[in-house]
Amino acid sequence: MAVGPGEFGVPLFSPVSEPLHPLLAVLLITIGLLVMASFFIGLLADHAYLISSLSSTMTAALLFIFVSGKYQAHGRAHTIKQQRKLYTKVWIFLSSYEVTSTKFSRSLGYEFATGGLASVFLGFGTLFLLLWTGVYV
Amino acid sequence: MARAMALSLLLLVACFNLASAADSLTVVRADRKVDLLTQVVRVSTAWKVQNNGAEPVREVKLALTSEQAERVAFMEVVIKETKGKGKNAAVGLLLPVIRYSQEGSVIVYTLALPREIKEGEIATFESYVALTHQLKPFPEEITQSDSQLVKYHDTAYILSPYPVKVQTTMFKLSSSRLESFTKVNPTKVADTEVRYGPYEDVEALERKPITLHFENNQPFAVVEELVREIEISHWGNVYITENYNKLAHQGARLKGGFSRFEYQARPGASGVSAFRHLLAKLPVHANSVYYRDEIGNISTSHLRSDFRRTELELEPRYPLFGGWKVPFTLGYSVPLQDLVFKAADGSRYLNISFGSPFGNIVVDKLILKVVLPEGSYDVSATVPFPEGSFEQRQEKKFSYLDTVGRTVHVIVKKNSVMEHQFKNVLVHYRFNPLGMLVEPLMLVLAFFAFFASCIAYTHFDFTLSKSTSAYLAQVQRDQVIDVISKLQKVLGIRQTAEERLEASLKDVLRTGDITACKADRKNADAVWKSTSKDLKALLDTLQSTMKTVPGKPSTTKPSVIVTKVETLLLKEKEMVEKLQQKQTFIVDAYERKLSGKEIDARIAPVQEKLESLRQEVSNLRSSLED
Repeated sequence: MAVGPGEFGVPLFSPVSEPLHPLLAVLLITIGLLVMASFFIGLLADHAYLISSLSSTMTAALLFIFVSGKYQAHGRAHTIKQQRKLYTKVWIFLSSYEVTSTKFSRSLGYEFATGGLASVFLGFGTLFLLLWTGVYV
Repeated sequence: MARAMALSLLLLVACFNLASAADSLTVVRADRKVDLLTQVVRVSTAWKVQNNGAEPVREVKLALTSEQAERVAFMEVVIKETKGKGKNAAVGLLLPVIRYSQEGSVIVYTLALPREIKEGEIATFESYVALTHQLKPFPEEITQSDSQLVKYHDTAYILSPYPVKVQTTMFKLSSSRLESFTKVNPTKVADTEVRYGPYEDVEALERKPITLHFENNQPFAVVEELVREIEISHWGNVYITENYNKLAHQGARLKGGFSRFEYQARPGASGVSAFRHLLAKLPVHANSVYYRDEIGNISTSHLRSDFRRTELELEPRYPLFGGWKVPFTLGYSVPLQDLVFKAADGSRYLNISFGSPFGNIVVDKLILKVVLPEGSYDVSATVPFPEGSFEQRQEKKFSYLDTVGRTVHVIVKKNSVMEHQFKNVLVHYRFNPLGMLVEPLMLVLAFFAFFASCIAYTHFDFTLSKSTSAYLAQVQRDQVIDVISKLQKVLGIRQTAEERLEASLKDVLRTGDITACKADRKNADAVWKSTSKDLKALLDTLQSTMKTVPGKPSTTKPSVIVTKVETLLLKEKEMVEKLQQKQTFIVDAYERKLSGKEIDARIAPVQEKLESLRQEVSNLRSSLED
């Protein structure tokens, strides 16, 4: 139909090449978890179970950081120390919402924005995680 | 009446003329080689035809009996043309089958010639036909130690719609053990070959049935139904899953039981017609190969791959004897760029071989399902088989992260043999690249729904009554916490101003630059002035919230907080004043150019007071966070 005898088409490549899958998965999910942690801290600033949400998201984020640190140190030029500095800076920025928010000072728009950002990062990170593990969706 | 008769006569004559024009070819020489080595009968015939009619001929015909036509798996007719000069001038052109018709018990295939044959001209072409299920095992049941004998029915004369002048036929057998054969003079048997002919002046469609009964121990592996599912993912992978619904040994059935001991002890004399291994040739970059059946994974397999090819050798759970069946599933992944291509007009197509990757097996029914990604449209397929020998249809499949389902293009064909491995199917489709974003967006929406539900949960007010004392106390507590946090914020601002001033004082002690210090002092003063207003406002709101509490026993706590806050504010004010004092001292001293020791002496008491105040302030602040 579109290809006659003797005609050749160009091979179709994936938009994201395969070696990038693990890197993108780890990076996006880590950032997503950090944003999610800040979201929960902002959301539950005055409730009793703030501590549990805080600790759970923090441990999740730290675990992911640890895993990514293990992986990335082999493949990339950055050292682990530089990464830790970067992550702590991001963490401090995001958790600044905590020390300044109460039940009456938090805004719905900020929460939706943080939730939206977290869901974007987590969504794309999960996609690359699926591709990394071989589930080509 | 007479005119009608004349007309009808004319018509009859015209018909005869047409008929004779169609059959004006005669075969000058035909040589047939029948390959009976494996379970698939392969007939290659070299034809030399001459146009003895009055008009040029554009078509050529081939004939098969109707039983054979039912089982024809592969038919190819090639004519050799010389294009240009040189060693590689001879090019084989494929003749397409334009129609087939049934005449009695014979099916006649008509093929179109690239160039017409003129009167008196001679043309040569070769035909190649592969037929399945032609070798019938006889005896139909054998024991484990017997050899397999098969019967083959054919004709001594080549079945041709044209009269043949000279013809020979040669049958190539798989072994030299020939039990019986029909003699049609001249016949000659030489080791594994049986030669019939040459015969002269044979009429069109004349047959002379013969039967060959010989030994054939090659594996008679036949798959009843094979479903090949090819799932394309634009993120970089093509999954191929082949479901062999019963691979059977359709040779002579086994009778008398199976003795494993005999089979293993005397491999040359026991189970000679049985087979254990199947060899598959997979695409070069095939990976993640799995071989399993209903029970689970089958580990008896070997995968050998190098840069040129990938070979998979499978060993089913048990050796296959006559009448035994084994179902299994074979799956592997191939990178996207090996199979899917982009055409010049923007559409995409999948280029995949049609047949099963196993050699030497016959598939009775091959169903090829191509699962295209969600959002594909304009799906069509180029199938390398003549019209009518296959079926096509479209289905829908729901797979990972699907909303409306994926379009599946299905091609069904009967009788597939090894030659189909070299026949490629092209499935064309169109796809909008933005469609790939649907999948991650679905994940994003799922996560966002979770976050939105969290927000909704915390923002909804689930209290039953708004006037109970407990609820009101809770409200008051929230307000107090709110005010205190605002207070902390303001105090924090003041503290940063204070720290900055302190730092600039230290700089002065080092460098002696007073102007910067003065500027800092100005800034700090401004900050303190503005924030003191805020502090006053906050204190007022705090006191007002304290007042509106209804009769609750623990009113002591709020008043404690108020007093704490008041003392904190006072102390903080004092600290600020002391710091301002210190700064004026130092600036003064520098203007008067006093010595270092005197400066220290003057600010020492101020410094001590400052330190103690600082301590108290920080203590009070941390104690407020309750």
